[in-house]
Amino acid sequence: MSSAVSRTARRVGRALSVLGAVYAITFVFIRLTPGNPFANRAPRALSEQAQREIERQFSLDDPWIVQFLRYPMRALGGDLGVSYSHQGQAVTEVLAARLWPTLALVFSALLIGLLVGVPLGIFTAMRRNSWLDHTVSALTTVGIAVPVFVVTPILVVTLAVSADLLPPQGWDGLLSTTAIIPVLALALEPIAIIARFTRSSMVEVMKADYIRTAHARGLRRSAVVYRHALKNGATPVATVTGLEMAALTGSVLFVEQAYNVPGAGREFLSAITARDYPVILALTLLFSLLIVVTNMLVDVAYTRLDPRTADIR
Amino acid sequence: MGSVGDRGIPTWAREELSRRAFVQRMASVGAWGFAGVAGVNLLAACGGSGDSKGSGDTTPGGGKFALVDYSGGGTGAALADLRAATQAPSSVVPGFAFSLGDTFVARLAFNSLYVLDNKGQPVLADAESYTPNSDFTEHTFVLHKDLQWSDGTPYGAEDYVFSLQYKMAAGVVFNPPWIVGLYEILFAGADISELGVVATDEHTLVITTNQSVPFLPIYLASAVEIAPIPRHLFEGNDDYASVLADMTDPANFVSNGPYVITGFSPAEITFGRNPNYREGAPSATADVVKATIFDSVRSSQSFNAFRSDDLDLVTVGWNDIPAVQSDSALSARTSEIVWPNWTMLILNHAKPPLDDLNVRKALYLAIDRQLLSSTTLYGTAAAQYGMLSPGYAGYEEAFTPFPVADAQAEAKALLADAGFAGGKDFPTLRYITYGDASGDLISQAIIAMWKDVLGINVEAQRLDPGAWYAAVITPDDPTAWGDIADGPWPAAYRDPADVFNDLLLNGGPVYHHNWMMTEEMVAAMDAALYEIDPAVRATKVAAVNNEIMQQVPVIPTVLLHDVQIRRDGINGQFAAYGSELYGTRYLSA
Repeated sequence: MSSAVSRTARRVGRALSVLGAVYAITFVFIRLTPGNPFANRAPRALSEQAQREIERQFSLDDPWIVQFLRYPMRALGGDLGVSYSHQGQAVTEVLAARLWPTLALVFSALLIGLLVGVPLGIFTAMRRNSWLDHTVSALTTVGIAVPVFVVTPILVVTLAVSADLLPPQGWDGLLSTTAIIPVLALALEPIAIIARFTRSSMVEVMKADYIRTAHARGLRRSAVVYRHALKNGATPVATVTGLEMAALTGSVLFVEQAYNVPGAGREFLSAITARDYPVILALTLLFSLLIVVTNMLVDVAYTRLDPRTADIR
Repeated sequence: MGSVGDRGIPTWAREELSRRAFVQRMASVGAWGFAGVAGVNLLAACGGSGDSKGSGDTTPGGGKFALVDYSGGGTGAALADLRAATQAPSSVVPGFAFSLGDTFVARLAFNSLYVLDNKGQPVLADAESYTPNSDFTEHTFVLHKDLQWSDGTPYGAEDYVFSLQYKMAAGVVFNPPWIVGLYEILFAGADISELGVVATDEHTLVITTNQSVPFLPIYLASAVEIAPIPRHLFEGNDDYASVLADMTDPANFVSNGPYVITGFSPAEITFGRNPNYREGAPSATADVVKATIFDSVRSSQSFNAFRSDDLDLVTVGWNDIPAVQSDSALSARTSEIVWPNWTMLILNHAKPPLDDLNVRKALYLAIDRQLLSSTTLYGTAAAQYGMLSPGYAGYEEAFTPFPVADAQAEAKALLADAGFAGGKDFPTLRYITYGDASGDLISQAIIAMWKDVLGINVEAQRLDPGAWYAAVITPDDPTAWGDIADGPWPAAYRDPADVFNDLLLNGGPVYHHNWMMTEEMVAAMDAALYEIDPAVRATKVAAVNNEIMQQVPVIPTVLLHDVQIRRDGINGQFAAYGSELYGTRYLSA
């Protein structure tokens, strides 16, 4: 029990240090980036006096070190500051309205990646070197090689503009037709990568002695695959799932932008352009937190799938 | 001094080209004798000039779409609901920000003393009368007696005064320099009570200006920052940000225009009728306006949304213009809207080789603006030679451009005079762009023209707008930002003098180069600023342009047009992207 507590504490400690490093790097870099968050506040260059008043309103007249230390203290209390580009709105309000589409897209894509990728990997592993295996292999190569910023416009042009089957932009919720293109665009890579990893992992596992033994015991093929092989074969899949979460948080920025989804990804890009420091910081930390938590869950999954790894993690 | 019909071409350019034409003719005399001269003159008389590319742009249009007047008529029934595109506003209260989204909301939901009608002209709104004094320095507005906010709270002249004072105290408004006391308050710490905007009684507002301002009505109609804010919500509240945030909730939104916000999400803003809108005030046609929020209203997403019938009107981005031109059904619905959106290049005069006037002139003349307009920008732009653009005093639609081939030959000669014959030993210049689609097209084409004509190398560096602003407009070291940059948006105002002020003084391209602000320029600008007679004013404004362009502090390139597609029946100056008209109401015909 104590070792489990100790492992958890280590994980949390690592996660916090990662978040701290991300915060420090982001804080420094966004302030080093040239540009003024309030340049669009006036039709012409702001006067010194106006600039000072705005800095006072947003507490930007404090020294950097004060701002650097103040933000995490307030953030721990749930105060992520006030947005510069959504005047007067708390960052928490800005994010509350925009996080759901992003989370819906990312988790839907990941879920589809698992639901399609794992069976596809198993299927091809069981039919190794068949034409089906080669075909799927070729398709997954395409899925991995073609980036999301190419896939999304292609889907829009083919499914929306040319075929007129789906809306070309927008967001009416996850259960609407507007979700199909962005989810599909995001899911293609996870499907391809997870299918690849599942296949190679299953091919290796299926050569193992205990699998041959299971067959010799007269177990049905499905029982051998799903009860014995998949459990061990799933470890690398868990790894790649964690990595895919990180990849998806990057891809979703482009997909939201390209498909005009009013989510946190699009807001993140707008915030960068507008130099909306509090929103940039909050979203960077939230995206980092998402990745860190996912990787912690992957760590936990490892120990479940292979208890031997518990001691070395 | 340039003539009005030059459309801003500086006199030095005409003179250099005339001199060159004379030398060429003399050379022709030597080579071919009298017959040759006669031939050249005959060619000139027939309109030929040896210019193989220039097409003789004589109108502000010249594009491939009709220049449609949407001010009335229409081909179908007016729409009860209008679906438009906008960008996310930073604020829903006028004057606190000036992005397209902010102005879109302000135009729909807020009235000022004047508003723009469906031809883009000022009409009285909150004011029932306007009376200037004889020299247009004291402007008296009598307001309607029954003005009220959408929540039923009455307001009057004092509210206008309060609004301006509040915004100035909040440091978020930047008004024109000619309102008495304004610059003293903003820059010299004068007391807010010294502002030349006073309420002489409950319904009378007097604006005092320190010079003649005959264009005040059009300014008031165009400038959203003049619109009042609900005093009963802001007064006594120094934390204006919290009030702004509250106003984004439709339940708390209060306005005085024909619309109120009834829905506000990250995806869409919905406007409905203001229940307490004054009877007889300038109205609008649609009962509901639904504005989908895009990162850019000129994006392919908005164009696709129009094509899938999710929008009723859209401004087409440059990348999508070929698709519109190749689709006859879309082209038939498409119009070009001309507004003062001319583009320019800023030159860093503090550094060699651009500190040499001959080099600047060479760069100016080497650009084939007609090719740029007709081909690079798909025919939806017009050549721009100076700082005068449509709608401004001094701008003449009919004019004769200089022959491109002659101009480019002269550019080569000027570069040679500067010691860089054929581009030899000319350093590679750095050209900072801020990366919108038209800017990319223009910069690539101009760099290629300079290479072809002058043999010089220019490297483009693309910055995002924020970095561009910091690097070019407000640099710590005015000599460090590079050599050439995309210019700022020069013409947001209906006051031509303001354009020159902007260029010369207030964050414009010569912000850090006031050595170029000669006494002659100041005198010429003052002469234009104080002129009341429109015809004389036009001549004087042209003179200002000419005086400034003698030094080629900037290189005007093209006048960009908006290309807009609408469903049938939509009239009025609505949402012309980026212009001072953008977000103007969908007014009844």
